[in-house]
Amino acid sequence: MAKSYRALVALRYPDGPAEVAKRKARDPDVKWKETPEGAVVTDIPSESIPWLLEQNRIEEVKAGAPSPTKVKEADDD
Amino acid sequence: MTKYGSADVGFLLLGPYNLTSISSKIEDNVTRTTEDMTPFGTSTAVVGATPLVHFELTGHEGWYDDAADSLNAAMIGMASTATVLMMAIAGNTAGKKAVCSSGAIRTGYKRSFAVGEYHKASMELAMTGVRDECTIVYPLTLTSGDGHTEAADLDLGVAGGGTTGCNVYFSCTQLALTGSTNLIVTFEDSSDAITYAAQTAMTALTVVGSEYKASTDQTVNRYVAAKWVFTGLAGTPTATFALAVKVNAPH
Repeated sequence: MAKSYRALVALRYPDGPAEVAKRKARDPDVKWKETPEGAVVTDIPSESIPWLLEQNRIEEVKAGAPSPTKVKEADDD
Repeated sequence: MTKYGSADVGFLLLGPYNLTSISSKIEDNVTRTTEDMTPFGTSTAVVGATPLVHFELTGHEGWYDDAADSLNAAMIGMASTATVLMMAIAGNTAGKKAVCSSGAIRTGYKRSFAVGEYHKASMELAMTGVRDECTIVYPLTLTSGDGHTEAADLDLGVAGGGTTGCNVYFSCTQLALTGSTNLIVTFEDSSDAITYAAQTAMTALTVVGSEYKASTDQTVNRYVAAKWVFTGLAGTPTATFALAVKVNAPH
């Protein structure tokens, strides 16, 4: 099962492996996908995940773990 | 080495005012302040360089123009607040250099009238704070609807990124929302030219404007791009804007 990641900033990447291949070939006709800040996704291109994690642009979402937003709400209560 | 001429000046923007077509001369000066430190007991002058560097833009010459986005409108009110200035000196093209500052203060405006001549107008600017040698990420261009430049991103080169942030300069000289809520322009970067992440989002605009944003602790990757979104897209909105960046302390 693909890992889930939360976008900590807005992201844009090719929409699927075929589009990633087109992007690598510098095909100008790539279909892009927009991911807004805060969204949890599973389709970030695998080659991009290491640098996005290292630079805190995304974070891994563990199955069953509460989202940071929910934790914060619980703290506020 | 490439030489450039007046035809290569891509734009001269003061805040949201496009002064390119009514300007014919401006001088960009950088001066390090020195102090005479000649002590007793020597007959040879000693000059010490202080840490202070002055930036000046002087010698502007141009023509009087009463258009709403032009020189007279920019100067007649003589706003006292520092303004973004962007000047593309080597062409209005992504990757070319632009001199940018967030600290242009309008200090003087002169108009002259003579028989048989077009009215002349010139401005005086004092500069406060930093002045950057930037790279144009998005040239001054009329756009229609949402868009991005990832398909034709800009590669700053292996040594072009940095780990201590960047200074981003933005000027929007024309904006027609046609019912859309606002325009948001974002500076993006990427380490692999596949996935792009928002680096710096400019403040949403409902009218023309300019902005400078600085960061000091972020990694800026070598591939950079611009994205623009008309929130609540309606009709066929258009905008004319430019975006430039100075990456701090390249790798």
